[in-house]
Amino acid sequence: MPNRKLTFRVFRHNPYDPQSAPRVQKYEMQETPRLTLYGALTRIREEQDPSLQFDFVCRSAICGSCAMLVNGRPRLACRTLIEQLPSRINLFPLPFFRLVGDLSVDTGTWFREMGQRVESWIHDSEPFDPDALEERMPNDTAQTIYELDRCIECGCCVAACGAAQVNPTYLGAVGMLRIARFLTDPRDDRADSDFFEVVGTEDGVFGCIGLLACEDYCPKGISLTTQIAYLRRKMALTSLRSSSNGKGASAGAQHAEKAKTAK
Amino acid sequence: MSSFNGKVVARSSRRIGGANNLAPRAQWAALPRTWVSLNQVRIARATAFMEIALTLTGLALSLFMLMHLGLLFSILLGRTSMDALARFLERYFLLQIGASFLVLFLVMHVMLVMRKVPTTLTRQWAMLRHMRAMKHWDTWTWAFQGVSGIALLVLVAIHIWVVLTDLPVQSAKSGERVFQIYLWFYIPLVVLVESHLNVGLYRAAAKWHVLSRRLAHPILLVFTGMVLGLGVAILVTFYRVGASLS
Amino acid sequence: MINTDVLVIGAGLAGERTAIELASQGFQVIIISLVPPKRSHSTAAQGGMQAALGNMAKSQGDSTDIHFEDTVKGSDWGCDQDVARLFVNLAPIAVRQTAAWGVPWSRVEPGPRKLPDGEVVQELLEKEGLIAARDFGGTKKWRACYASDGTGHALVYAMDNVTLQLGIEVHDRAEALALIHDGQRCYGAVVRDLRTGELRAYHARATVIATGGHGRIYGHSTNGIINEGTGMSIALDTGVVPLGNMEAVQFHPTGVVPGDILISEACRGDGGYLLDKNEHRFMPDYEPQKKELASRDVVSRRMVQHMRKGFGVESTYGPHLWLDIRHLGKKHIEVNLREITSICRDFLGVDPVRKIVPVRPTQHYSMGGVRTNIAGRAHGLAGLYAAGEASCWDLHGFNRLGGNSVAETVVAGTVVGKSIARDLEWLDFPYSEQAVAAMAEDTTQMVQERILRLRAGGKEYVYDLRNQMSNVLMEKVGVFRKGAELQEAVDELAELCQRSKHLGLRSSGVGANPEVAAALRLPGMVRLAFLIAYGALKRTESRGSHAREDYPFRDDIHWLKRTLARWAPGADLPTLDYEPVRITEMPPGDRGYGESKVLAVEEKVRA
Repeated sequence: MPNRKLTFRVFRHNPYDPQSAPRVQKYEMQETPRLTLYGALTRIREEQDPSLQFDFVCRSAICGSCAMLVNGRPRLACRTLIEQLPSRINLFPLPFFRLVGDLSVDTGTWFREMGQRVESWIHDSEPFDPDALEERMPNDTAQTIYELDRCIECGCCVAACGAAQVNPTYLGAVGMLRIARFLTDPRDDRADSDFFEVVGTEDGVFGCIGLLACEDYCPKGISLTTQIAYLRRKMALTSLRSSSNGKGASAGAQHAEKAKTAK
Repeated sequence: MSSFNGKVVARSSRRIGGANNLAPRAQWAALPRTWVSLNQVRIARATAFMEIALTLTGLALSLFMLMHLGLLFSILLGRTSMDALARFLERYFLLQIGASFLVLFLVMHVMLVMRKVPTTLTRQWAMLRHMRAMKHWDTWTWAFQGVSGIALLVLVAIHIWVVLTDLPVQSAKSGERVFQIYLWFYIPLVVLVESHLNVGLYRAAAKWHVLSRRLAHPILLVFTGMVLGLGVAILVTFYRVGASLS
Repeated sequence: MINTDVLVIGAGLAGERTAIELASQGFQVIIISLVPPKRSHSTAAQGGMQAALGNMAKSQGDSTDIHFEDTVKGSDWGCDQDVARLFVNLAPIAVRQTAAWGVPWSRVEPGPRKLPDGEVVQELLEKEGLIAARDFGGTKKWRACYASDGTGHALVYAMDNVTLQLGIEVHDRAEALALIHDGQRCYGAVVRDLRTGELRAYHARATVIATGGHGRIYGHSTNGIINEGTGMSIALDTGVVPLGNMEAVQFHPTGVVPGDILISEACRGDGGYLLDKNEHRFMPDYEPQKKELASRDVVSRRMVQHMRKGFGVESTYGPHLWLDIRHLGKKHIEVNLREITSICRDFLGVDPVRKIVPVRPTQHYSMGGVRTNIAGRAHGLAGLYAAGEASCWDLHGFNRLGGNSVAETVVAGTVVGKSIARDLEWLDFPYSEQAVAAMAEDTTQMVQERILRLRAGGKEYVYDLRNQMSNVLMEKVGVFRKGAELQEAVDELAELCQRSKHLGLRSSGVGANPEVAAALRLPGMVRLAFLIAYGALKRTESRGSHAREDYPFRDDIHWLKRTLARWAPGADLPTLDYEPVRITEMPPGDRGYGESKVLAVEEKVRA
């Protein structure tokens, strides 16, 4: 039976309280079996300090709300078992994002902006016909798209990324994953060259300095560096093609190619 | 206006002050900056070229290093074979040609890589703080590349200067150099060159996904061991040659 | 004050689908949400979305009629049959539309396929690449469309992407605390910003409540932390909007302890045992034939019964039982029960191959909610609408079928969106904007005073009261219900209602203080809890998930009706009314599963 005395050192700051200054506060509690950080933080809030801010929604690693720095590593607090941690636990909010208070950061705003930047939706000119059968799709394609769609927007990849720390307009691994997802989807009409201006830049795939932390800290185990590499190759190729054929000459051919694979 | 479901739909554009959930920075960042937007495609294309060129110059430098090692391998076969090889290279000015290419690629490599290095104090500070806060191994290997790169720039420049001002290349001269003054110069040079090369290859492989990281780790570890072993063996041989002569 | 055509409260599947319908017709929509939309609890729906597409070998011959039958039977004849008919007809279109929006639905792969029970079926070549479906409890045909193991996630992402495409404004981290209304019509809501703690008013011509369920008022719930029934309680606070069938609450037998994460039915279906504190397999004692394989509600009831006899395992997290799947073997556990294995390992640190897993019955779904008509208009207040789990559209009656809830959110969103568009165009009547501004001012003032009163400090602590409320519900208004206990629960909750008026803060309450948020929510949650207990006490029959030990029969003579609960502002007790359930196509009959008997038949014989 685990029965350690746990010491939490938690970053505290309420930006809307003029009296608050960033500090680290210590909480102590007795360990109980099968405890996760979700259970521990909830207990601290209910029994010791009801002003402590943090975010949980699903508590089962599906919603991506509760990412924070646990002993220097970005991870989902709900899926962090206390028994796998030392008895001294340091908790900090995710870096990079704007602080809402204590362990809570504003990921929502950043991700919505990212979605707008990469136009994170299916670009399809055909209107939906409610009377028609669904368009057919090989199950393998559906599975591949699903694999790329598994991201839960927790923000670990961006918080762990050194490039994002020095370039606030950097798209982040998650943004590139999103582009890869729509590039793979046969229902989306966009071609490689349509993404070039968004991702073929230093705010995009060429701003990546290859620290590989995004993949190492992705709680869903998505192969982010593979996807970034895929985009890097595509964008490099697009730049070579467009310079030899003139701008955007390859777009038409690619549209055709995509339409063909979709069928 | 946007097209949705085949219909053109007016976007709800009545944004009311204070209500928008986009933070000020986000709104600002969503706007294109004049010059960037005008040149966006050109800049993007140039960036792509630079990205490719960085990896290519890195690869070229790695190949040069392997060739260099291969040539020095001759000392392990004996002094006469090395001296013969050196004479052959010098007859056709291959040494000078090689050295000038080396300098050219080196300069290009450095210039291309500058793009990736945080240059302002604020950014350097942010990066340093990040590296210290984040427990992450490969973030440190990146920093190692930066630091070893700067060190190599100095060491390699000295090495090229010393060799080229002391032509022709002869095993005796090299041996004496290593034995008398330059041992403590060559040890870090060899170690840094080989590790910079291999970490660079590992990162390039991951970046373009030529190898999966799980594969790249053991392969490059073995490779590093081999190359480093060879380098040390050559150094030891030179040292012994120098010792036997004096 | 912020002006908009439509204010949608809640950014889950139902809310976003409603917003999309309206925005694509050119109306200005603002969605407010407790959390960023992609974090909504809709993402947790892993099972599937019911729609009669009939693409699989095991769904050949499926039709909307069979889906209708399954739904009505599932509801134990408690649902509105017009709504059920509308729903089953629209569900296939809803699935196909989400496919066009990017949901990577799993597709049919032709060829022979071996099912877990050994049966081999042949998937047809002509169905290749169409949307696949899988089996789900309580349905005759395979009808649950799924996207790998993350149906809810894929749907929420596709839906939220469409809101991005349409440029719909989403104000996240905002909580609606009161509706602005004059007893006739709703004009929007007063909202607290959860970033800053400030209040602001939204003026809307139509307001939609799509805030999901109230699961968190129970101590143990599979629902997300944010599912505290806030939308239902602000509708109830108006005093004119009734909540329907609040006593209809669904339970799931196997939530893990602690955390209450749901372990799917597969663990019992594949032959898992339930053990008590002596590691004795107790289900055969109660259900000698079906053992662990009895239906969801029966197993839940037996588990509670056994724990009450003192056979529960005592733990820091309350009593629980054990689930044992060790005898199924490492290979079976790791391959066929992969999801269960990863939940146990990741969230409990327990390896089900070698150890037994702590489980207990947990609250799962609320069939009740803001009572609306078939078009989604809330009863009692013009301009107010509701959709999804927050509403009692009444598709589910007294028991929801697995997979129908996800389909409901999307279908109801479409229907409600369309009816709002129609209403705004044709039924909208002019009103004085000045009067609305004054009303908004008053409502904001009222909420502000509540916050000031909290800061001034009462003696009650919010989390103490909340835990007491949860315990009363869990113990006395859980899976098993009995008159005497329900009466106790009603009394205790009435007392808690009074005590919740004297909440005080222990922290400063400055800014986005979570204690303020909890304290503002609690009185509404206690009122919802009271309605559940009160409705359950008054309903002297067993129907669907509402199981009375003292009234074990379904009573179609007296109780083929829906509970409507209203709570006048300031009143100590709510008033309950009843309305008949609309039966159009399918007269009440036998469900063909479950233990409940039907009283109507027996009474007729006696008469």
